[in-house]
Amino acid sequence: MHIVGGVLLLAAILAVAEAVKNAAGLMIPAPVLAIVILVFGLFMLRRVPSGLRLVADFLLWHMALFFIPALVAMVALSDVLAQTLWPLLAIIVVSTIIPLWLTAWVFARLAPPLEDADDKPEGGA
Amino acid sequence: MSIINLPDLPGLEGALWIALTLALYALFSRLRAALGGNGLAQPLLWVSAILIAVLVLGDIELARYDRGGDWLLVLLALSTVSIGVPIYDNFPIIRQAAGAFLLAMAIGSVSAVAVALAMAHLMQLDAAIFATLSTKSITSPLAFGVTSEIGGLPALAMGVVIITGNFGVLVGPKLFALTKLHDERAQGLAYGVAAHGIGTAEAIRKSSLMGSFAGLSMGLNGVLTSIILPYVISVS
Repeated sequence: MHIVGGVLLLAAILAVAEAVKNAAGLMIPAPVLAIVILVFGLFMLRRVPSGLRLVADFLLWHMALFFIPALVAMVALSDVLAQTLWPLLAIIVVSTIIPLWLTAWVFARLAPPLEDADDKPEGGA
Repeated sequence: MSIINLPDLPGLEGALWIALTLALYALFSRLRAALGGNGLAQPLLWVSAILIAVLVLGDIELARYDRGGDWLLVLLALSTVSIGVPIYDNFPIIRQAAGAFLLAMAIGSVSAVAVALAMAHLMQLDAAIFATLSTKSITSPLAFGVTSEIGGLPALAMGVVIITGNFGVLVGPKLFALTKLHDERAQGLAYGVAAHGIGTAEAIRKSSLMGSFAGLSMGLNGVLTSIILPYVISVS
């Protein structure tokens, strides 16, 4: 029943997010809105229900698997890609490396050092 | 992908596509573990490449693969929601560095779009591709809506975001090792901004802390950029 409860929670929150999104005409995707609702709910509850923890750990660990259909769908793009593949790849390479480095560098410069491990709440995976 | 509109039952063909996808994923996950977590052995990249090759060589329509694939996309939506759990777990650590978080995120996000647009301009790519590239800093489901709003090509936006994510995950570990940026918070934040959902999926595997920073920066950056971008494009 643990697992059912966890999936139920995630699905229910996602459904609420879809409803809110439609009602308010937001452009935010429902799953992103659902993250906000979930975090808010967990703060109200002050703990992570064990069933939710179980399901979330599994789903997060295998998240790359669930991206596969999105990647396979690029097959439909072959015409556009054939025309501009090399310029696009060059742009993607440069415009990924620079922000990846810059973001991490700026944060590492500015952020206070991580406090001791005993302050850390118990993590998931 | 809406959970309210459940896809049709997969049927024999859909079930076979799910089975093939899972079998390849299991195989490449093993391979990756055997290679000591080598960054080049990304199951997502290789499995997708093989499946694309099967579809192209077999002259099979994407809709047929999607009879199985749609089920995995339902799980993608649920796993995206799950990012809320590590964000809650690590909230005290995130709050402690909130200022640095927001500033680094903003600088990273602007640099991604600026570099992409400057290069597109120099290469004289056409206007639709230019508009598409400006959504580069937004996670894929968001990019889709925003791109059509500003006159780009939504399918290409998805493709660009996904290739970006894969590339970010490929070079990330080497880049951070070379530049001696070992702070897990900084790496997670960077993956979320520059490599989106795929970067977040990778960060969560490394640690809950890295994953929570990635998930938060992906969501926040995506939402902020998609609110601001249509205004910027209409002004310029």
